[in-house]
Amino acid sequence: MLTKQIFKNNSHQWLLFGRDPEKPEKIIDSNQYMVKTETKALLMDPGGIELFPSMLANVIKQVPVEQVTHLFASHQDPDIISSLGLWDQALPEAQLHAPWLWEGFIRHFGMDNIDYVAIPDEGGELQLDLVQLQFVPAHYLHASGNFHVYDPQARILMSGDIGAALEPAEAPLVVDDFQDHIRKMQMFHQRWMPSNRAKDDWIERVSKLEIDMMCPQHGRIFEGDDVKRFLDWFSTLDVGTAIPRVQSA
Amino acid sequence: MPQTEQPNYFVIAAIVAAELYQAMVVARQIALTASNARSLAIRAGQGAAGFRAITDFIDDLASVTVNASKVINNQAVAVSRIASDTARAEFALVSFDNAFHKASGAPYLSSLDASYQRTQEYRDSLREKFDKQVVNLNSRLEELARELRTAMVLSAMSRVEASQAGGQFEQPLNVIAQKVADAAAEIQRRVKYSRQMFSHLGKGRAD
Ligand SMILES: [Fe+2]
Ligand SMILES: [Fe+2]
Repeated sequence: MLTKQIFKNNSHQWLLFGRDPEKPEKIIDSNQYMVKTETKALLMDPGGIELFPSMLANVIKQVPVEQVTHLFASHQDPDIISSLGLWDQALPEAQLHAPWLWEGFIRHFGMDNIDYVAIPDEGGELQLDLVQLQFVPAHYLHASGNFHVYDPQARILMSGDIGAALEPAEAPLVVDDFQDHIRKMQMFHQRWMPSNRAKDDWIERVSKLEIDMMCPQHGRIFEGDDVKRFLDWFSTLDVGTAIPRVQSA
Repeated sequence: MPQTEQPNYFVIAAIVAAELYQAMVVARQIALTASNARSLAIRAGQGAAGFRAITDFIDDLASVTVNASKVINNQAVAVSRIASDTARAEFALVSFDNAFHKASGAPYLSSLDASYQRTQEYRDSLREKFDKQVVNLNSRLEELARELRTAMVLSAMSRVEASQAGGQFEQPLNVIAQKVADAAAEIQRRVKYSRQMFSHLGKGRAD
């Protein structure tokens, strides 16, 4: 599994873990992110149970395991957090920040030691040493309780399944040709995202943030102008397409 | 310690729980049979007085069996739960091991030691609990098997008493005797099977 530092300043560091060559073929490739501060670390969408050994191995190349004090799950999907039962044995003192809506569901992955910190619908904040992170609501995109993580210092938005692309596991980490990237994202967003209203609400909220990098859980990172390009493209995209539109006469 | 060679503790314990649950259902049928037998014996009058006395014993046997299988069933479910937790802890240890190899040379490799040790201790405590519970369960199963042997005696006595009652009552009373014998035999079978399953557990432990 690959580890890449995507941001660093005096107070903290952002790392991406992904593109695991040992991943079983039929499971969707995913990006896991870590924010590392002086004494703490937050793992975001730590991934599925199949990925756990690779993830743990890569994490301890960066920090001692006990420094991982916080986990975050954007929503309840297995590719996001089915590894929880194993992290629970590895990090008994840690906290898991996840939507309140999914607590009773996520606990099914096995959680005897870790603390569940329920994020209310309106979102919240997390202080890690000198770094303050924000949990930004992204409900119904695609999960009905769903959050992204925004770092105002680094100007990074970890955007969960939004911005996801389906492509081979060896694909580059950063979008290099937005127009070409669209075909890898379109079906994912139209079919997995259920609500145009939710989409518009999210775009409005996120447009107010200053974002240098938008980091999805699948596919590639959007940098610079590609963030704006993504928001523009997404705003015109019709989602929830598994239900046929009613033809107006 | 390849996982495939380990006996599936939690599956076995779940099978035993299911067997004991079925035993309890059959024991309830014995209780029903005993109450039918009693009313029949009352109608049969003086000739069936002996049979009537036996129905009390059948009743006792039924309630002992229902209670014992209920307790054993609950215990077997608890054992299955411990075994599932053990399997999870084992899986965590295998995953830590796996991570350890992948991360060889990593700067914070040794930070895994504490997690590994803690999980190992947890796993060992579960195993210990599991072993104790299995011994306990086994002795309860033995006790139940002994109890059930009286069912055969009761059935034989019922037959003798049925022929004493004679006439129109002999045949239905014999049916009751047969029912008790059949039910007891079925429970015996399930108890025996459960004990066999547990003996696999005892021998199959891979460390
Ligand atoms: Fe998802
Ligand atoms: Fe996902």
